[in-house]
Amino acid sequence: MKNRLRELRRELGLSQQVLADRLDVSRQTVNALETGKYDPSLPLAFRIGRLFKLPIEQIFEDESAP
Amino acid sequence: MTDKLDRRNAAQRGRSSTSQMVLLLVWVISLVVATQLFARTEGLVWPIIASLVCAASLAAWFWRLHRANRASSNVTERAFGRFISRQTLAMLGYVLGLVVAIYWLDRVAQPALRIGLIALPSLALAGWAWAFCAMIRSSDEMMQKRRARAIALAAGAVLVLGTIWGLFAQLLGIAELPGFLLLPGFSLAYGVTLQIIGGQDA
Repeated sequence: MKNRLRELRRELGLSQQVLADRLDVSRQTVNALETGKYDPSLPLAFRIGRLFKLPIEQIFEDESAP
Repeated sequence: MTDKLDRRNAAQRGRSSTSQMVLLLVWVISLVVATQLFARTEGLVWPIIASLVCAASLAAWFWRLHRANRASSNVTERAFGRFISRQTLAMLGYVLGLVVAIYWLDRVAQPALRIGLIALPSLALAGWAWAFCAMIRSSDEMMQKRRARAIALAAGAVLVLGTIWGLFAQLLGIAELPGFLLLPGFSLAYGVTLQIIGGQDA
């Protein structure tokens, strides 16, 4: 699944560590999310959406969708 | 800017890890030296000096770990830091319990006391298992998934290898696998598996 997490984080001027702290996850998880190595659970995706004040579908893109 | 901040934080964490590694190395070397001096020399001065270095390096390591842990505002990182302290204490308890059990087992006749002596290192292992479970429970969702996968794969590998070894021992008469090696074997398999499935992220 592709996402705009790195781009949005940079727009807010946050480091990976600060974003991780705000989302209550590890920095490794933020890195794995940004590099597309890990897809978040629905609760985490909602937390990310709330943090950036965007709906989930504007952050994550389902590549398998027709 | 943000990437620079990440790199600076990573460098600080790296320096902290290096000093902790050095302290651990000093601790292990002084522990071995102190044990050998106690066993081989008559005088008490050098064994005591080595023991003091050993105790001081362990205390310094704990202090640095505690400080690094307190400085971290991240739940998962703090959970892992707690696990490292608890694991070290449990392993220390295990080794000391083993030494006490080996030393006293032949000198004690009452069955209850003998069971108690053998239970000493076992209790420390139970403590380690609790610390391990607590660390996984406190991790975030990605780490929980990766660690649970690593546990399943490592347990499977140990079971399969143990069974194969058992077959060889039964049918070809090679030495039996000592049961107390199962946990160290599992820990080794877990560490390797976690690195393979998680790469640098784990």
